[in-house]
Amino acid sequence: MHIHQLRIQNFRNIREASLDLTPGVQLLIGRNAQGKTSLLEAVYLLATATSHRTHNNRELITQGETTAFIEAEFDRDGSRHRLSTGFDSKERRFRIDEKPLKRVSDLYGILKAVFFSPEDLEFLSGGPIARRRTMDLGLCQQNPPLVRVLLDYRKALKQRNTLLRQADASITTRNLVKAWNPELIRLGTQILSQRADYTLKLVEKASDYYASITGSRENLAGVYRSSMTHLAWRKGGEIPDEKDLKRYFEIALEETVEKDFLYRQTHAGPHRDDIVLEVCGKSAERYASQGQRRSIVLALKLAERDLLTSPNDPPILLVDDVTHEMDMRRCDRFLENICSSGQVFLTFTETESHRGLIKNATEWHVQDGMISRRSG
Amino acid sequence: MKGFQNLPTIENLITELNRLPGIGPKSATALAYHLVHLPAERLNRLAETISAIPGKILNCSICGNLTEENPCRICSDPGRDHTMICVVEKPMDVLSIERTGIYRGLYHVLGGVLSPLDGIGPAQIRIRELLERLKSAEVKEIILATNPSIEGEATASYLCDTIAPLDLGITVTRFSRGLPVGGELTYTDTETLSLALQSRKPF
Ligand SMILES: [Zn+2]
Repeated sequence: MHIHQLRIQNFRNIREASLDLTPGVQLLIGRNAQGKTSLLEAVYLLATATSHRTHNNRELITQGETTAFIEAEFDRDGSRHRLSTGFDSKERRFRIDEKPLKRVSDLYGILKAVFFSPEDLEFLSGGPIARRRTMDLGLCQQNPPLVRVLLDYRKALKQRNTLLRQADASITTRNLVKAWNPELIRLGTQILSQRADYTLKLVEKASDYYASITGSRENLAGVYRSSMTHLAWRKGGEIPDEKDLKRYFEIALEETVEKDFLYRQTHAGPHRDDIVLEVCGKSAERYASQGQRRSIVLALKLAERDLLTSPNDPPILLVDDVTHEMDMRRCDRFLENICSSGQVFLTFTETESHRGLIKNATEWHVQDGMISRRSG
Repeated sequence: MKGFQNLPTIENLITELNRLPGIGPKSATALAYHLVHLPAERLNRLAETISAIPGKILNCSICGNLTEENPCRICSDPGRDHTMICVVEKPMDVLSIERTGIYRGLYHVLGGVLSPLDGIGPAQIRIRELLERLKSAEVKEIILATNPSIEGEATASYLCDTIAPLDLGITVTRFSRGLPVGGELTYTDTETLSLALQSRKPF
């Protein structure tokens, strides 16, 4: 999968850009805050309708403008497609091959992308919310129907929590609250089993990468910890089938209902799950050093890339500013790995010495929102 | 809408048409210009038909379906099976099920589904009326035919939990299982609907 042509209008500080791209490595070179990250963000927005930096459309539109537009012409399975999004401060619309997408959930899986960014460290510092978000973004690209399930689950949860917030705990209210359980269970079970399965696969691959980054001196392991009845799985652990999970979920909802009324929110369910990573048996969230953290998130991202790669069709890699903290040897290995992958967008500052490690790249100069091809 | 300043009648017409479901600004404008060219006689007939709606069409006092006579024809038909009530969200759903021709029981139109986010609780939809009907009539089976949406499922679940403890000896069945998840009754084809109706399961 690769993008031939990328067009951007009024996106952050990029007023107008039109890039003819090659299938391989794209080097984006420029000083900080010139638009390198924005370009990567634009591609990721097209792939997933999300930005790692904001939920607010307004922030994505060039100051003084009302609408922004991003379009990519890309190859997939030998045929060419055109995906675009136009948005103002209120709504975002997507089109594939000129046809409007009815729902944002239909977007996933069309253009697959993995974003490597300095913000990835939030996987360890940002709490369970950041971890679930990372898992779900990777998982949904791999398994697009799950987007709908996640959105429906969120809605059922909101409905139930709204009741809990208004509620006296009378019998009628209890029945009303309980009425949302079957849907929560039906949807939540799918999320739980798929996310747990994905997490275990991801951590297994990531631990291979982590071993190779650290020269096998350290090992990385991970646990998927469910919020209900203290269920947790690690590598090799068997995730119960959906029938058993449904039963566990039902019991958990019954067990926590008093707490739900007390705190006015739903306590059991995949919206409270967590992924716990361990380095050499110790919690990475608490004890890992800055260097270990960088290696962990890098390993996770490489694993995400692998899980998202269907035969001969790697996702597009968006690599923002993650190499300059690495030592030369480590960086060389990392670049070698990702640059053999397919289409890769890499950002570099002018002065970075690591740039020399990359051969056969198309170079782009990024300055003040203007993007131009560099020759030579 | 800019550009219509000297045609306020058309502007108003477009605004009203645009407020109808499924009619965007473009179709509203096209429709308005179409109407303008119709003969006065046809326009008057259309206007009269529309303005007769508020007086003529009402909700059946028993089932809540739209009707011009009260009770409606279905409720007052002795040939129908008065031991069965099919619970639906909207009057249009009655129409869809009637088209299958295989259901001979009665209906109960809720007029919506539970949705705390929209402030809709049991009091906002015709649940009390349904429970009253169950106590007085000779009902043996309730078919819950709300849409297979999150809210439709929750409403069905709530109804089942409310009816069961009343101990009225009524079988509660759910029929949406054969329908596509998230689909709507109104837009489901007759054949699928017949199948779903025949294969309904105890809740
Ligand atoms: Zn009636």
